[in-house]
Formats: sequence, structure tokens, C-alpha cells
Amino acid sequence: MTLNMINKQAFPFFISLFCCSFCYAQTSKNQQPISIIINDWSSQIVLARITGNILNSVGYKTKYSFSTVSEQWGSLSQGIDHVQIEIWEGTMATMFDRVIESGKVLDAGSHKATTREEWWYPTYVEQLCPGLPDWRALKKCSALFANDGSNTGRYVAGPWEKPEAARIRALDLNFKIDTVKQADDLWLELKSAVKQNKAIVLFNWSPNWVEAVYEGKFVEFPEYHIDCEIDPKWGINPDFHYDCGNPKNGYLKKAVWSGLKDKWPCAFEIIKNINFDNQNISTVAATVDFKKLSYDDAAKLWVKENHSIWHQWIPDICKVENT
Amino acid sequence: MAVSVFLKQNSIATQLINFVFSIYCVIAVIITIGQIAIEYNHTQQAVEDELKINQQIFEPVLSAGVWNLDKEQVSNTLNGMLAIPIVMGVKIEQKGRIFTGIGTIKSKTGELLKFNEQGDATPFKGADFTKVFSYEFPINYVFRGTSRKVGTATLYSNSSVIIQRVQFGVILIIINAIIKTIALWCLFVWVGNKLLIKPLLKLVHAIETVDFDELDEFKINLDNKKENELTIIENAFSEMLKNLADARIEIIKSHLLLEDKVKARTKDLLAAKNEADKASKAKSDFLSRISHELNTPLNAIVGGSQVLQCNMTQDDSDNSILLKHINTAGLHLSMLVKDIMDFVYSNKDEFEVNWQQCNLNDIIISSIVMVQPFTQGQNITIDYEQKEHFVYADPGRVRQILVNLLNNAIKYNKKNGFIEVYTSVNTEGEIEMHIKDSGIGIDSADQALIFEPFLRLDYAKDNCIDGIGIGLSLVKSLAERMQATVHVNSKINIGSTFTIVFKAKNPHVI
Repeated sequence: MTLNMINKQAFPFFISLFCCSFCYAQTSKNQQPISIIINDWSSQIVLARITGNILNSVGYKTKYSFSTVSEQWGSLSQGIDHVQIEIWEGTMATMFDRVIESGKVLDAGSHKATTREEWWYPTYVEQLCPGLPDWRALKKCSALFANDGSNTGRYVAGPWEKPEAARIRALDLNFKIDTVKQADDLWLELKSAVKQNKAIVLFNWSPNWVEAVYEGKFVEFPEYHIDCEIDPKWGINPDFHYDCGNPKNGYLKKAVWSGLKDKWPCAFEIIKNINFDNQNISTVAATVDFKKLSYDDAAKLWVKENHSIWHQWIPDICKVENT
Repeated sequence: MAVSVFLKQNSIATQLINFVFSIYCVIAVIITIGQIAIEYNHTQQAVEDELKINQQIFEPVLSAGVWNLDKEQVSNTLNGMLAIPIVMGVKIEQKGRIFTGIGTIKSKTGELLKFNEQGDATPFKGADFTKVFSYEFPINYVFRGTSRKVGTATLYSNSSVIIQRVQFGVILIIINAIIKTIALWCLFVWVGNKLLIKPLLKLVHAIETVDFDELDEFKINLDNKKENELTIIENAFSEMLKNLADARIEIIKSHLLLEDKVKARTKDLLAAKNEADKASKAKSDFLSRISHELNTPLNAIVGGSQVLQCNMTQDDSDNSILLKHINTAGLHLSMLVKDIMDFVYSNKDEFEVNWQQCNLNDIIISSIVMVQPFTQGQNITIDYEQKEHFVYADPGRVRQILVNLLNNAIKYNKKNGFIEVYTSVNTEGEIEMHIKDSGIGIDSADQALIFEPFLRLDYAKDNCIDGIGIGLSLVKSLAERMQATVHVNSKINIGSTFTIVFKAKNPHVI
């Protein structure tokens, strides 16, 4: 066999190999890792890891990138990070709307769960401060919540930006804000107060594991309205904004980088389908915060126990044999 | 007073001050313009530095806003930036596209754009922004420990900002320059006036008012307390005046002495002249009397000898020869006497010229005829080409001149020689009569002497040529009486040419 004959037979083979490689690239999944944002509260971290596990199950590579709530929008917009699985209306609506408007971030749909972020107290505090959950009760018994012997009550705030100071001013509450550095500190404060049967009012949200462990209620401030944030004349205090509470029954959305749809199309479809309700979220959060499982173990546990749920979220076209 | 002002305006000191001050003004203007340019550039640099400082101040806030796509936050920051007086506009870009902005900016195509409240840039006309300049800096946001460029900010400013800033400094520079110039001018004028103009004007005034009759009493006082060039000039001028006064006295003395000498010499000369005149008159009188006295017996001798010759028989041949000699000698002597008398007469004031239109051709022909007999002894030929020329003169005196010149041409000619007579008209229209001979010629040194009376050259003496030396003197004298001129051109052993030049027109008719 001459060298010339070898070349003549090898040429169609290389052409076929090249074409097959091209076809594979069309149907297979992009092997660049999908960066899933994790924040600093348990439910979000576990949900992010559950999402990661699901995407891994269909052949995607994933990585988890920590970001603060305030910084995540930039990283999402620029494609540094690709997925945010928990977007709370109460704290993130403004920024979410802004990045959606820019077109650089896509709305990947809502969870079934509804959210609320508000001042919260253990139920026993109602006995100490009659009139709760109405906010006006706080005006009468602010001294109960003081920790320095004064008449000024103490509100334990989370590390996230909230218009609490504006609300205290607008509603003329005699409270000061004590901001903790991380979410766990909130629960330590709560645990300590409960142990001492002491009056405490702190930032809490739903869904959260806390509601599965501690009995408590949100303070009922005047009903939220968008004008409350825009028009000072709206509400009981015509001089200030935020003379109202946070929105009730807020959405819990998912968001992805706009490029994800083209780069990882199956991942986009799966993320759109991911859907947690309040119970699921509270459960996974409690697994970590109460049962003290690691985030990863908690996620794997949920994936293992809820195969039928998340398997429905994967479109048929995206499924692989072993999922 | 007017002269003083003129002098002051045109004095060297004033010119010097004006010149120096003009140069100073030019230099001051150039330096001031340079200072303004430096101030402008320095201010522009400062403005640019201030724009750069804004990067450090606003970048962290801007980067957070741009990172979060928070136009509200970015706009609030931009409002703060626009509040800085040097900033006329700010543009924030993300990947080459305008994210938001504020104020007035310049697009890449050079078009002015203005941002509205929504942060949209629209073309903007009617603004008078000259030389818009900008400073661009990247907006970096540190995320997860890595600095990431999230956009660029461009700050715009314009030259009106710089002009606004430098105008106070420029005014100060100009006022400073004006004050310096005025102060320097006053100083120049004061110093120049004191040190130069006043002393120089005094000096000029002193020079102008110098009285040469009272130089001894003259004094300059420039009031210079210190010794300088002016005091040297003052001293030198005073010294010069003193020397001048001394010299003047010496000159006056010399003048007086010279006058005395001139008077004495004049007196001597007058006396000598009188003596000479007397001697000349005596000589003329003597010659006149002698000639007259000689003429009477000579006429008797010539007449008697001619009568005796006529009565002589052929046998008395010896006596006849003797009578012939007596007659010839008498005629010769008579001619000499006549010449002497003519010469004397021609130098007298009472000599009269019989002016008339003469045919020069006739005179020449008759004169040649007269001297023809004397040419035969040496076989001399006389050539004459006849031409009709008329001169206004005395025909008898012209003939006398020509006969004298022809006689000399014969006497001083060589054997078998020639004489050529011809006439011509020169370029000025004057009639010239030439007598050319092939004689012995006259030495150039002697040519000036031949017209002196009674002077005979050595050749005549050595060769026993008769004559008493008044022929050419008579020719010259007669020619001058007829306002004609005599010239001679001669070369030794070649010959001489005598030329009489007659005036073209009647000299008595103006």
C-alpha cells in the first residue's frame, strides 16, 4: 500500500470524525462550570446546592460563588455568576427590577413559596407587651425591649440593607437598631432571649427554619403600598417615607445571567422549572440550622429524598440515561 | 523755550531713554504674554489634575453604582461631580455604550451632547464651548478580590473654566506689568533728567551761548557733585575754551603783524611797480624817440641811395654795388625800426584796431607774395591751399602777424625746406590759421619763452640769424589786441606749427 493510497482512504475518515465532533458539540452540554450564587442564609445556600446537584445530574459542571446581596447583581449582569435561586421581593425587588430592565439578567420564574420579611417576635412577648402584633403596642412598651436600662427599645436587624431606620422615624417608634454581622447571630440572640423569656423583636423572614422551631409572629405595621416608599404624604406620617411595613406575600424568584439561555440552554429550562414551596424551604433550612447538617449534606439529603419532585423539573430533552 | 523743548525731545539722552524704554516695553509685553501663557497652561494642568483627583474621590461610589446598574446611585454621584466648578459634563460608558451621563459632553465625532434628566444624550447647539478637553478613567470594581473594569468615566471641561480661573491671575500680572512699567518709566525719566538731560542741556546751552569775544569770562557749571563723563566733558570744554581764547589772542596778534607786513610789502610792491612802469615808459619813450630819430636819417639814407643808384652809370659798377648795399642795409634798418615802433605802439593804450570783415585768403596770398623773395636763397617752398574764410579783425595787423610768422619760418627753416599755410574751422566755429614749417623746431622748454620781447634763442645767436627778438612778441601782442590767440606746437629737427585762432563772431557784438 503506497503512501498515496493511505492518504486517499484516511481523508474521508478524518472528515467524518470532524463532522461527528461538531454534531457532539451541538447536542452535548457546555462543559464550562455554571456559577451559582450563594448568599449568607441557610435556605438560599441549600437551595443553591440542590440546584447545583440537579444540574450536575444532567451533565453540567457547577461551582458555588459567594456574593453579598448587594454585589450579586453586578456579577449576574456581567456573567461572572450565572444563577441566583432565591430572590426575595422584600429586600431585592428594586435591584431585581433594575437588572431585568437592563436586559442583562433574565427572570427565571417564581417559586411557589411566598415571602415576608418583617419585624418578628416569639409568641410569649405578646404577654409582656399586650397589643402585639399591632405595631402601636411597640410604642407603649419600648422599654421592655431595651437592653441598657433606658426607655429605648432594641431592634435586632439582619446584615442586609433595609429601611428600618426610616420606618422607626416615620412611625415615631422609640427604638434603636442593633445590626448583627451575620444571620446566625440573629438566631443566637433569639435563642438567648427565649431562654431568658425576655422580650425581643428581631428581623425574620418566611420561609425560614425558625418558624419550624420557634413559635412567633410578625409585627403588623401599616399595610405596604408602593407610594409608601415614594410619596411622603402617603400613610399616617405625611412628612416621611416608609410609614408602612414590608410587603406581605412577596414573591420568591429565580434569576439567571442573560447569556445562560444560549450557553447552557438545558440549565435555563431546568432552573425555570425549579419550584420550592414554603414548607420545603423551611425544611431544608432547618436541616442545616437546627439539625446541624452541612449545607452540602442537607442538599444531597433533599435530592435523595425528593427525586420524584426535581426529576420533573428536567425537560426530557435534557435528561441523560442515569438521571 | 521752543528750542529747549526741541532739544529736550531730540536729545541723545531722551532718545536713549525712549529707545531703552521701548525695548523694555517690548520685552515686558513678551514676558507678560509668556507669563499669561504659562499661567494658562499651569491652570489647565491644575484643572486636569483636579479632574484626575475626581477619579480617586468618585470611582469607588461610581463603581458600586455601575456594578449594580444603579443609575440612580450613579446619577447622584454624577450630580456631585457636576457640582465641581471645573466639570461641565460626565459620561459613563459600558463596553463602548453610554450607560448614563450628566451635563454637556463632546461625542467622539466632536458633536456636543447634553444629557436630559433620564440620562439620555441629545445633540446640543448654541453653547459656546471652546477647546473642550476631557479626562477619562476606568471604573474598576473589586469583586472577590479581583479588580474588574465595569466601565469608563469621562469628565469634560473647557477652556472657559481655565479662563475664568486665570483671569484674576492674568489681571494681576497685567497690573503688575503696568505698575512696573510706569515705575520704571518714571525712574528712567527722573534719573535720565537728573543725570543726563539736564546736564547735557546745560552743556548745549553753554555751547550755543559761547561769546567768542569774552571767552576769558566764560564758565560752564553743570552742578555735578560726582566726577563722571559729564564733568570730564565740562572740564575738557572749559579747557578747550581757555585754549581757544589763548589761540584767539595769538591769532589776533599774528593778524595784526601780518597786516603790517602786508602793508609794508604792498607799499614796496607799489613802489617797485611805479618804478617798473616808469622804466617801461622810459623804455617805450626811449624806443619811440630813438625810432623816430633814426627813421628820419634812415629815410634820407634809403632815399639818397635810391636816387644815386638811378643816376649811376654802368661804369661805376663798384659804386653801384656799394650803393645797393647801402640801400639794402638802410631798408633793413628801416624795417627794424618799424618793428620796434609797432611793438611799442601795440603795448600802448592808444593802440587802435581797424575792425572789419577780412578775407583771410587775400591776406594770406598777399603775405606769401611779400616774403616770396626771401625764400629763394635756401630754396624753400611755400604751400597754400586756398580757402575762403572771413574773420573780423584788422587786415593790416593780420598781414603783419602772418608776414612775421612766415619770415621766422623762412629764417629758421632748413635748406630745401617747406612752409605750409592752411586755414580751418574748429569745433567751436572759430577760424584757425596755421603756419607749418620744416625748420629746426623749438625745444619744449623754450616754447614758453619765445613770446618774450628781445629774447633770442641760442640757435639764432649761433647761426647769426638777424633780428632783435621782438617778432613773436609783436605777433602775440597784435593777436591779443584782436582778441585772437597764438599757439605753437613744435618738435626739435621736425618743425614748428604756429596757429592763430580768431573768434568766430564779431567780438564787439554781443
